[in-house]
Amino acid sequence: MNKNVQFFRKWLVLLVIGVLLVSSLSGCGSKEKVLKIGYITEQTGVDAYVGAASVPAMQDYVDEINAKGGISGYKVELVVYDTRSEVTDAVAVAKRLMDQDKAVAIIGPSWSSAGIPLADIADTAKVPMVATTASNVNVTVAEDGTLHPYMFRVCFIDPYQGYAQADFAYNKLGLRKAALLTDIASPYTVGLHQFFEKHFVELGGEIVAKEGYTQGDTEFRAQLAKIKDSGADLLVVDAYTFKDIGLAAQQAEGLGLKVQIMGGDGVFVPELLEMAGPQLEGAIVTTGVSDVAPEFAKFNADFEAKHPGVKASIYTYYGLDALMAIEHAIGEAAKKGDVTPTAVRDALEVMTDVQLFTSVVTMEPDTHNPHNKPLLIMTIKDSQWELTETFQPE
Amino acid sequence: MGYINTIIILGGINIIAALGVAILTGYTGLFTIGHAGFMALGGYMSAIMAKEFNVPFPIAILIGGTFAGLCSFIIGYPAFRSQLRGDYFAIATLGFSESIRLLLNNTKTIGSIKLGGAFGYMAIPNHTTVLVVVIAVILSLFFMHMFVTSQYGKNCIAVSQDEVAAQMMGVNLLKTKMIALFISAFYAGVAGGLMAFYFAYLSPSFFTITKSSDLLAAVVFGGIQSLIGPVITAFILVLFPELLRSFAEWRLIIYGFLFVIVMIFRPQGLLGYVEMNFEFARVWWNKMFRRKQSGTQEG
Repeated sequence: MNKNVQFFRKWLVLLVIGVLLVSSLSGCGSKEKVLKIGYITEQTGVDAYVGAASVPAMQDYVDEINAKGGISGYKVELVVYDTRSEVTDAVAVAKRLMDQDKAVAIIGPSWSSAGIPLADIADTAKVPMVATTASNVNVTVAEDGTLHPYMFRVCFIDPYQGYAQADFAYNKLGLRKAALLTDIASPYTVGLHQFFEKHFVELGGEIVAKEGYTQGDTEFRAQLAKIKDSGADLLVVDAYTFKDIGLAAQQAEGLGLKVQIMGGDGVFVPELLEMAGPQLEGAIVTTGVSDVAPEFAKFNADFEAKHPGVKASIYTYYGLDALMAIEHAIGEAAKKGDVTPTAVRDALEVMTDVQLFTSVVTMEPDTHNPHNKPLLIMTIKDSQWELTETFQPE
Repeated sequence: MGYINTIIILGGINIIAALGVAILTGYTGLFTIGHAGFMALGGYMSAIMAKEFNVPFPIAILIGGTFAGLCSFIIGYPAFRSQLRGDYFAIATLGFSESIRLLLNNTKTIGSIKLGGAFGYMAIPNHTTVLVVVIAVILSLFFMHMFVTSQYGKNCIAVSQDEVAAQMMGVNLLKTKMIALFISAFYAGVAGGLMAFYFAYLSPSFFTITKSSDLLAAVVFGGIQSLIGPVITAFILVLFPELLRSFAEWRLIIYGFLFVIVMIFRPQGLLGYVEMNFEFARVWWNKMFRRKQSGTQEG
């Protein structure tokens, strides 16, 4: 009796361990022609709104593809993993997608600090990766100027946006004295401000104040008071998180600081208007794609009807852009009868004039950035976005 | 195998850093929520050594660890001289680690070395493999075990139990605490170095308070005055979120819930006061697989 119990216990322990390992660490074996597309995003933590806005739309689109019979006969499956905005998590899930899920291509990440280490991993594993909003130059091109062959992106890069912001502020708005409020821990903000400053000074403008904060700060009054004393007529807050510019605007109003406020595409989300619409009246925000453009009105309405409580934002569009780029590349690869990750990469590299969700995109083979993506300049009017101008690079 | 390797590597790095916290918090009774700062110091130092000065990788790691250890005196000496204890010392370490992070965020270059500030330090050579991490973990565990069973380790325990009594027995408080902090920072620095050579990229945003509190959690959760407890928990804290990945939105809730349960039912930690030995493995082995052999000496 006792012997039997012990025997049973021994095998039970081994069985439980075995089942746990097998079930969790191995991807389900695929039988038919199903291609997995990975998506590395934020579903928990401070940036959870990125995943919330993009995952349902992308899943819908994948369902749509499969309902039509897949891409050239290949069904696709979207595998989504959360990173909590932690680089270690992003690395772990990228490896998981590459090794366990055998993803044919990966979408993400959305921020550059993760994009830079992931580019090396993509190169080593030879699985193409399409970053959504990681806009630092070094995501696709390493510091020494060599291209990461497996890393792509569908957004424009920081130098370009910083340049456009400075150009618009100086030439169109006629502003000469700029103050910068920089999130010194965010490569995105630091990068944009570096290029803004360079071009603004080149044009003849002056940077009268440079103030810093770090992600998670909620108190900007000290910095704003200094900016007020500096006599600036323009305040640039290219924050990565919309809360920063929203809080800064609210506190600036309290201090009686009346300047033109400017932000980048990181803060172009509908939540910003709910948070600080009245305080940001007249503020300028640059972005690559607008959710108020008439061509997206139908999509937005359908999306919001299908997913109550979720609003489409630029993260929805960039996610779809990346997904469509991969769809196109899989289609091209399938025509040649070879849908390995390497074949998908080759197709992505030579992508020319392909209609994605937001615009027609041509991939630059030497930088893996989309070629000449237009930049939209939006003004906040009556707590709504209004398109002021489209900025086309020369 | 890449994914499993990743878990082993990240888990191993976590183990080494947690061992560092274990000697300080578990054995000497000094709470720290600033070990991410020492990891950053060690990581950046070993990366600079390997990338800019072509120092061989194992030596670069040791230099990084030593550098972190030496930097610990900056905070250790004044804090211990002024008898900072408990929460007060924890806050001091937090301030130290945050200032390290801000310093790195604002340091774009040191001479000709491009640290990159918030952009991160790029193009670090890639050396950390599973083998390296496993060897590093075994060595760390071995030396730590030697330390805590030595006279110095016993001094540490004495200090954590009762400082006044320890002093009356002739234990030099300042020296004991400084040694514990040095070793602790050294381990964190080595972990930071291994991390640098694994990601081939370092950014100040890796070393936030979240990292520090994860390490403290591993020690408190694993058990005080125990090495094997923090080792197991540090690994579990990496493995567990990965196992729960399919539950995406729920995993952090489950994770937090388990913490609360353990803290309520086992406030000393899962393996508190359990010293590392493998006797239990032999006993278990005999029980399970060698039932026929009776008469093993026990008791």
